[in-house]
Amino acid sequence: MTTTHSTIGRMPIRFSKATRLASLATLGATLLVAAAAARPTPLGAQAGALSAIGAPRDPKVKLPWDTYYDHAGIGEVVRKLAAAHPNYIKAGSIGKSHEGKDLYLLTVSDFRVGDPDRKPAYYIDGNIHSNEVQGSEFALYIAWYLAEMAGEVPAIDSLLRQRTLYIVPTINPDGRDHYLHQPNTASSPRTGLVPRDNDHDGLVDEDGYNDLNGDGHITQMRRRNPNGRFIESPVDPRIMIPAPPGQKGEWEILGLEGYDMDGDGLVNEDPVGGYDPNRNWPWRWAPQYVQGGADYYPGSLPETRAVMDFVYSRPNIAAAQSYHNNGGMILRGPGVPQDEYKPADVRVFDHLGRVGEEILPGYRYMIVWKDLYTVWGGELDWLYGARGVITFTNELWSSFLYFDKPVVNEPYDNVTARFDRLLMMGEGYVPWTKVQHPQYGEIEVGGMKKNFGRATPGFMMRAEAHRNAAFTLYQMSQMPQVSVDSVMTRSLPGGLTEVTAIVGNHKIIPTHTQQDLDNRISRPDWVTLEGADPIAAFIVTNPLQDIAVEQKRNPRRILVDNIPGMGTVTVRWIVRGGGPYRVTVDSEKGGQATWSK
Amino acid sequence: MLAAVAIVAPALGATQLQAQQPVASGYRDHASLGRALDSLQRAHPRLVQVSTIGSSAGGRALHAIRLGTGGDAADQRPALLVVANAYGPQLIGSEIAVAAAGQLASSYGRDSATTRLLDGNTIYFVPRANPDAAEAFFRSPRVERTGNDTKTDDDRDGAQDEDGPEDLNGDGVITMMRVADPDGAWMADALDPLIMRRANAAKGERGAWQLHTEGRDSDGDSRINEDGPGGTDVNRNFTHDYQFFVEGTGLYPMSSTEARALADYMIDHPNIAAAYVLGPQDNLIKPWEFRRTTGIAGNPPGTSAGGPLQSILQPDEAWFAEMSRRYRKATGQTKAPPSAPLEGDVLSWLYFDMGRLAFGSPGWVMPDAPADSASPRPEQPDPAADERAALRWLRANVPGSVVEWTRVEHPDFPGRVVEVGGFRPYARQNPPASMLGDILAKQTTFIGELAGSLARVALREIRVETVGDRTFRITAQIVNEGYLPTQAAIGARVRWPRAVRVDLRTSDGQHLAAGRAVQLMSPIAGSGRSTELSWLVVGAPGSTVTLEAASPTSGRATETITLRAR
Repeated sequence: MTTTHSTIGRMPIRFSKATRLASLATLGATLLVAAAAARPTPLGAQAGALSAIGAPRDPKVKLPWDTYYDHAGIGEVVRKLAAAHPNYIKAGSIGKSHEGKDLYLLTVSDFRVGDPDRKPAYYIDGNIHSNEVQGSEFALYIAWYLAEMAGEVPAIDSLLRQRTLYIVPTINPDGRDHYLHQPNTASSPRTGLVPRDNDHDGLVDEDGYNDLNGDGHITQMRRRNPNGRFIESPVDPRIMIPAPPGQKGEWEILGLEGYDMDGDGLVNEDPVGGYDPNRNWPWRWAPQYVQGGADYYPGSLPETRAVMDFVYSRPNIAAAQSYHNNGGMILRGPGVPQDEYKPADVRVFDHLGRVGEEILPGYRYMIVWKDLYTVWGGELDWLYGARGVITFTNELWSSFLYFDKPVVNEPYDNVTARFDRLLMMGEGYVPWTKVQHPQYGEIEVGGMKKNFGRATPGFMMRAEAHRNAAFTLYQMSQMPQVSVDSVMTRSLPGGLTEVTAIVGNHKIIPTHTQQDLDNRISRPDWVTLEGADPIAAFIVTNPLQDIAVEQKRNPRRILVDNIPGMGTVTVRWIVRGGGPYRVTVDSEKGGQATWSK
Repeated sequence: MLAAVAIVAPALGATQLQAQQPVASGYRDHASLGRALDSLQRAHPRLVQVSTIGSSAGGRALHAIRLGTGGDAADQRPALLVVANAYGPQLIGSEIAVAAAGQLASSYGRDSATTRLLDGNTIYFVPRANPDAAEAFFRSPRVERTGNDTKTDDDRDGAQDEDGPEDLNGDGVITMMRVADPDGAWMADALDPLIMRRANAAKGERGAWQLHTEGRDSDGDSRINEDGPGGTDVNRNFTHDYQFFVEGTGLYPMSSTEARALADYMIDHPNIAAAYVLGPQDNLIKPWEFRRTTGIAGNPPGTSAGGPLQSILQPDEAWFAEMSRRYRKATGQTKAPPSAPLEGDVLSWLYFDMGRLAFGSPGWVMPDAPADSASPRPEQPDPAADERAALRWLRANVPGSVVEWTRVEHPDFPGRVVEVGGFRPYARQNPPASMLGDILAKQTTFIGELAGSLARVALREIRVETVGDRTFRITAQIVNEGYLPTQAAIGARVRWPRAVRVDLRTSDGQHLAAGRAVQLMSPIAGSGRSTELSWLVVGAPGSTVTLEAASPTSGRATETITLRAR
C-alpha cells in the first residue's frame, strides 16, 4: 500500500529511497497477506474480501461509527482500544467532572520509540458543550484509525513514531449523559450540570423543560387558535409558517415543551446548570454581564481546571483541536478583536485553514470575533494566548452536507425537513401529537428530534470523522520537528577547531509561535555539543556573510529562541579537542535530534 | 522593585543595625494569628466562629471569622466582608481585622449600638489572605515579599527561585544596594544621598551607581536577585484587568488557591452585601469617580462588543463619595499616596466581578512630616517627595527604621565601592507597635459604621381596600431602611448579589387576580426610599395572605395580611 494521503496540502513530496523501498516491501507483504486471506481468518474478516482504501482491513476493535455513546460507552471504547493496541494507545484520566466521572485520556504514540511526553504533541478534546456530541466519537475515531492502520501505512507509522496525540474525548461527561438520557432539544443542555440559579430568584435549577408526551425529546408546543398567526406549511405539515398577511391563522406557537414550575410567570427559565463551559477560561475572561455564561470566575468548573492542569503539564503540546457543533467551520481566534494574532502565526493558521477547507468541503476557515461573534474567555483563546499553541475549533456538521451543496431553501420548506423526507424517511421528526398542558389546556407537541439537526446522521458519521481526522493528521505532520542537518569542522590556529552545526525544522509550524516568543512561554531550543571542550559559542545570525553573535555564558549549550517553520539556524563553537563530536538539539515543542560522528 | 528606595521593617525600638531575631511585637506570625483566633472564639463562643476556608500555596490555613449572633442564623443576615493582607507587606491589615473582630465581640451586650449592629448584621473577616508572603516578615533576614510560596521561574531561564537576596551587611534585613559604576544609570539625590534616582542626560547629569536589591548574582547570569523565593502576589491574581506574563501575577487569573478560596467563600455567603479591603488600592481617602469611557471599536464598556468596564457605574459614584467622607471623618486620614493600580487586585474584583460596593484603604497612612523651614528645599516638582517625607518621618519617629548607606565588601564586585542601605522592610506600610492602639480603635469604629450602613428591607404602609364582593386590593411599600442600596448599580449588572424578591402567597380558596405572585425588585436606594406594589386578591373576608420581601443581602421582612378593609 502506498501512502496516498501524503498528496494532501499540495506540498511537493520527496520520498526518500528508504521510503520507496519500504513501500515496495509493504506491497510485497500485502501480496503475501492477500494470498493468506484466501484461507478463513480467525477474526471474522470475510474470506476473499477486498478492503476498501481508507478503512482498516480487519480491525481489532470493531466499532460501527454510527452511534453516540454515553460516558460509560466512551469508557468501554477507551478500554477496548488500549487493550487491543498496547503499543500505540494508553488509557488514562485527566481528572473528574463535577459529578465525579473520569475525563478519559487516550495517549496515542508508538511507545516503543522515545518518550511520548517529549515528542511534539497534538491535543484534542470534544463535547465541551453537552449537546455537541459527535466531537467525542470523532476524537475516538482518530485513535482507532491510527492504531488499526499502524503497520499498514508508512506515513502513519512515521507519525506515531515521531508525534504524540493526547485525546480527551469528552470534557463534559455529566452534561453529555444528560443530553443523551434526559429529554432535550438538539441545543440543550449547552451548559454542564453544576447547579446555578439562572434567574437569580433564590431557587436553583427549579424550572427546566418538561417532556409532556414522554418521548425523550423536547419539541415545540402549538395550540389551535383562530387568532394565532401560524399555519402548517403546504409542503410539509411538520413545518409551521407565518400566515400570509390578511389571512386568518390556525395555530399559536407556545415555545419549547414546558410549564411554569415555580409560579414566577416564566417557563423553562432555570434548567440544569446555567453557564457556558467555553466561556470559563482565563484568557480574556470577563464577568457574565460582558460575556454570558462565564460563571463566577475562570476555572470555577472542575472540568476547566482539569484540562488546564493537563495542558500546563505537557509543554510539548504544539497544536490542538477542540470539537464543537455545528456549522461547518474551521475556527481560529482571537475571540476579541484587540488580540489580533501576529502576522507570522496568521500565515501558519491561514495555510492550515485552507488545507482544512479542501479536506472538508462545506467547511469554512473563519476568525471567531470577526466572522462569528465575540467570545471572552474561550478555550481556544487560552490555548493560543497562554500556551502559544496553534489551535483550531471545528464546528462539526454543516447544512452543506445535507445535499453536498450550499443551502437554498424552497418556499415553505427547509433543508433539514427536506433531507429528513428524502433520506431518512421521516425519522428525524416527532409528528404533531396531542397532549394536555397543565396551564394551556389541549395542545400539540412536535418537531425535530434532539439527535437531528446538529448531531451528524448515523450513515454520515464515519466519513465526516475521517475527514476531520485527516485535517488533524495533516497538522500533526506539520508540527515542528527539529533536526541536525549538518555538522562541519574547520581547523583554527593554535590547535583549536571551529564546529558549525545547522539545525533545522522542516515543518510548517515553527518551534515557537510568535505568541510564544513574545511572551517567552516555552524555553529556548537547546543545541548542545559533547565530545569536546567548548571555549566559545555563537549563533551565526547571517550565514551568507558569516556574521556571528557570541553567547557569552555556558558555551556548551547554545540557546536558540526559535527554529522557524521550513527554516534553519546555524550555530558554531570554538573547541579544544578533536571529538568525536555529538550535537543534540532539544526543543520543548519540536522534539529532539542528535548527530554524532 | 527599583523604586527610589526600598522596603522597610518596623524596628520597634531597635536602635542598632545588627542582625537580630525580628520580634514582631504588635504583629503576629501565622501560628500566633491562629492562636489569637482560637482565643477569640473561646472567649465569645456564641458570637465568633473561626473556620478554615482553604490553604495557601505553602500549605498555610486561610482563616475566616464570622462575627454574628444566633449561630448559623448569622449567615442569613446582611453581612460585611473585611479582607486584609492579600498584599503581603501590609500586616497592619491583619491586626486591624483581628482587633475589630475582638473589640466588637467584646462590646456586644455592653454597648447598645454594637448590640443592635450584630443583632441585625453579620461581619466576616479574612484577616490574612496571603499568609505565605506575610510570614516573610518574621524570618531572618527580613525581606519584604508579595509572592506566595509557589515556585516560579521569574526570569524564564529554566530554573526556579535560584537567585534570591542575601544579607550582605548582616543587619538582619534586606534593603537596597548601590555599586559605584561610571556607567551606572543612577545618581544620588543632592539633598539626601539615600534617595537614588535615574540620571537625566538631557540635564547633563552623570550616573554614578548601579542600583539593586541587597544580594549577589547567585546563578552567574549577570543579574542580581532576579529570581528569588515568592511566587504569586495574591493581590494581583484576581480577574479585573489581570496582567498575563507579568512577574508575580501568577500563571493565570485565579490560579492561586488563596484567590479561589476567597472567591468560593464569597459564593458560599450570598449574604455578603459589601466589602472593606485593607490593601494598597484605596478608594476611601480618594473615592472612585465615574469616568465616561469608550470601549472596543467605540462600543460601550460593560458589554460583549465593548469589553469590560473601565470605570465604576455612574449611579454608584454617590456611595463612594459618601463612604469616603465617613472614612476620613472616622479615621482622620485625609491624605494618602495614590492608590495602587487596579490590576488583578481584590478590591476591583469585588466591585466589577462580584457586584458588591467594595471599599478599600491601606489602613494606616504614614503621617506628614513637614520639612524644617531652615533646611534647603528640593527642586520642584520633586519626584521623590514621598520618599523624602517618609525618610523624615521614619528617622524622627521610628529609630533604626532607616539604614544609612553602609560600605560592604561584595564578592561579585571585588575592590569596588558597594553600599547597602534604605528603608527597613515593612516600615513604610506598617506603623510601630506604639501607634497601633489608636489606629485599631479608629478602624474598628469605621468597620462598625460600614456594617451598620447595609441595606435593610422593610414593609410599610400596608393597606387593604375592599374593592368589591370578596375582592381586595393590597398595597404595600417595599422600603430600604438602611443606608446603602438593596443592590448597587454594579450589583444589578452582575446579578450575583440578589435583588429583593417579593412574594405574595395566597392559600386554597384564594385567587390572585392582578399583580405578581413572585417578582424581583429593581434596586431600592436607602434612607427610607421605597417602591410601591399592589395586588388584587379574591378570597374569603378574614382569610389571610402572606407578603414577604427578602434577599440575602438586604434581609427579610414578612407580614401576614388579613383580607378586610382596615
